[in-house]
Amino acid sequence: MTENGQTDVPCVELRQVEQRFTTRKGGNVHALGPLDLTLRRGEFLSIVGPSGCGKSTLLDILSGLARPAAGQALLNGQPIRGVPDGVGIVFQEDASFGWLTVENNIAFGLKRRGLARDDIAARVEHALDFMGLRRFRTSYPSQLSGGMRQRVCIARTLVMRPSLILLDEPFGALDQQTRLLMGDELLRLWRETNATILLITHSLDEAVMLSDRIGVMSARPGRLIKLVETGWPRERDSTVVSSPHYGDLLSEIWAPLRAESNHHMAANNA
Amino acid sequence: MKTGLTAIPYALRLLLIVVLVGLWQVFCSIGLLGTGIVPAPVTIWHDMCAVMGQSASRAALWLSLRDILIAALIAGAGGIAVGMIVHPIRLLRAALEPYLASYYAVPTFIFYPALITVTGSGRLPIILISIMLGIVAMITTTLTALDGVSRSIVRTARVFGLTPLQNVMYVRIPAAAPMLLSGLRLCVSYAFIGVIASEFIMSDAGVGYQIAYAYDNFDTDTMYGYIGCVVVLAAATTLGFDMIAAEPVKREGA
Amino acid sequence: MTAIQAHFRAVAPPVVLMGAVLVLWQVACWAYPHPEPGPVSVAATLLHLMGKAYFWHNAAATGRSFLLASGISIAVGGALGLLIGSSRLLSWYLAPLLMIFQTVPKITLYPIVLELFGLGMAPKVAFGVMHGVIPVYFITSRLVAGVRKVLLRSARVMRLGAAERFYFVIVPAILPDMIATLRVSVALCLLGVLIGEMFASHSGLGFMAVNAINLGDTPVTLAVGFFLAFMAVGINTLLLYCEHKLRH
Repeated sequence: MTENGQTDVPCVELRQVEQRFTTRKGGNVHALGPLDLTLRRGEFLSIVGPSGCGKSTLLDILSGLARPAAGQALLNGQPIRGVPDGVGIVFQEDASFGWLTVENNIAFGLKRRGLARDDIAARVEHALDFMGLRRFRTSYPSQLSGGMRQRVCIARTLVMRPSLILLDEPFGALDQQTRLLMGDELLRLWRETNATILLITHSLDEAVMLSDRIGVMSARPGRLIKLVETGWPRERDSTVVSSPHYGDLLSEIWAPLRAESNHHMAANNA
Repeated sequence: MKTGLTAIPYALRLLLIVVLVGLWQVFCSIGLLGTGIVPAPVTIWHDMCAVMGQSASRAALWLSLRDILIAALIAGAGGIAVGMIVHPIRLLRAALEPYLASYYAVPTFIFYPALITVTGSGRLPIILISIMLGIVAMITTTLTALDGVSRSIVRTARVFGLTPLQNVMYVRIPAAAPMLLSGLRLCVSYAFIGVIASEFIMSDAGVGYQIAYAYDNFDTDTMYGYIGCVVVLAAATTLGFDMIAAEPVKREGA
Repeated sequence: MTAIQAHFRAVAPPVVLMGAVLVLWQVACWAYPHPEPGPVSVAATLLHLMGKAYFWHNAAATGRSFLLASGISIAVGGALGLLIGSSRLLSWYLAPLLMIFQTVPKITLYPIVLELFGLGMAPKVAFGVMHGVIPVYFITSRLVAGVRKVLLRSARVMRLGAAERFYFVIVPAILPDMIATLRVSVALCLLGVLIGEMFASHSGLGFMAVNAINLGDTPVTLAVGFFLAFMAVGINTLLLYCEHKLRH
């Protein structure tokens, strides 16, 4: 293990992965790739890119919700077929179950897995404390704010102890302050669980503040055009935004992204 | 090429209906479905042709159809108007809501004979009862549709300084249009039920009366001919409505 | 505002409205002598009827058929809705067929129902189911198709099987809306049962009503009609209460 907590053991490997769709009108869309990417075990990697570049398609492939049209996707050296064990995902939209209390939401996956009751109770208690949800354990999601609901979804994913956590713009619907605070929490849970995290985001600040590495994707079909190492220490929080290095990193990913977004808009207007 | 691809499911869907009707015919021919219960489709087709061949029957069909349209239009327009008026008045709405919600559990036909003693017999009570049947569905749909118009749209309209009437005409109705259309469809099907059922219960003209009359006289050929015509007419009306109603929804989805 | 005040605010407007309508009706009857009975005489007729055993015998017959028809409609329509609503392929092919059946005024099919079921309880229940089953199917399938995709994706990522997805995600997700709209379909079942009783039976409130119609006995017709209306509002309120309990 290196000093920032990462290993050189690959967690996820994508080799020449491509995705294509057939539209309802019979057209063919080349959505993604070819794309090569390796996630090291324990690393925090963010992906940014212009809208519609296939970020979410990439996430579907990693979570086993979709099969790539070409290429190989490996998790811990095994090809991904169906939803693999040990993968958790948090979506941008509110995915909390409105008919269950907070604690039952968190326990949902564990119960379906058929874990012992004591074990479930212990994990739920821990998650309630960890995500600061104890006061709301018997509340229903409709009684909570958007940020709190997203915490419920994160807690529900976390109790399954995933080794790979996929985040699809989890804070996209939240306000800026809440985003920053949730970012801090995310860093804390990443450190304490030793999970590998892949974060898809359209917020450059978020990507720079949270990640070990940032991948910049091109417009459709999405390819990786730049990979930036942030060099942050593992012990970090939202205060990194005040370091001078932060601005440098921001401009480093903005330059290729700006060119790409301009190119994308011009192509759409043509 | 593209149109060819999208046409295939439609063709298959039609084919399924054809196959089902074909199976029905075959079952009847080999005696699996007793002809005493349901006649074969070919027989019904002949009955329908015979019915449509007589000008008196065509007049009966036309009479019912005309009244269905009148009732549906009045119920639709009236329902929208009542809904528009009730929607902003909270107290009135609170007073009406429980009755609107349980309205359809009450068999309105029971009040049809009472209505006849007030209005006299003829087409008027039939149309009135059909309006009574449909209008509540339209009121409810209008209220739900207006609830569904987003606050930002309503506020935008206010910022543009529209008068209340302009607000209704140019903002609320268009914003609620897809739902209102489905309410109108309900009005049509309620009008169908209302007119034909009233003719059935107590009347001296129209398709409903003809079916009841044929049944009472054991004239099953004529009866099935009329039933076939009603089924075809009802199906054609609703499917036609669906085609119109599907358009704006498609645009939204694109 | 106390709970009692809130309750009063909810109940007062409909009650006041009903009171006003009844008073107007009664006044109209006094002002313009008319063959139509006023609310007082209808109420007297209803009270008189409610003291008779045959009235309750008929009410029980209607109740039984209604419960059976609702049960069958919900079970069959709900199952169809879950099955067809969750498959785009099935919806494409089967929805138009069910839609066509829905548009047909069921009353025209009554000769066929009589042929198939004879007289008695069976044709009443059949009429109830014919009216209720397709709306239940429609509602269920629309709700199933409307379950937010992110919930289904979450279920897949949790590696739930198809049965678990139905039982733990789709059904609880649609249940409150389901009950809200079931109120309408159950009402249609009652309507169907009553139509069945009016044409194909020798018992039940529908039969009583049609008898009174034929005898020109308007007070009894209206008394039965209002009794049914009270029952309908009662069932509706009960389901509304269930819905509120299920919504959070």
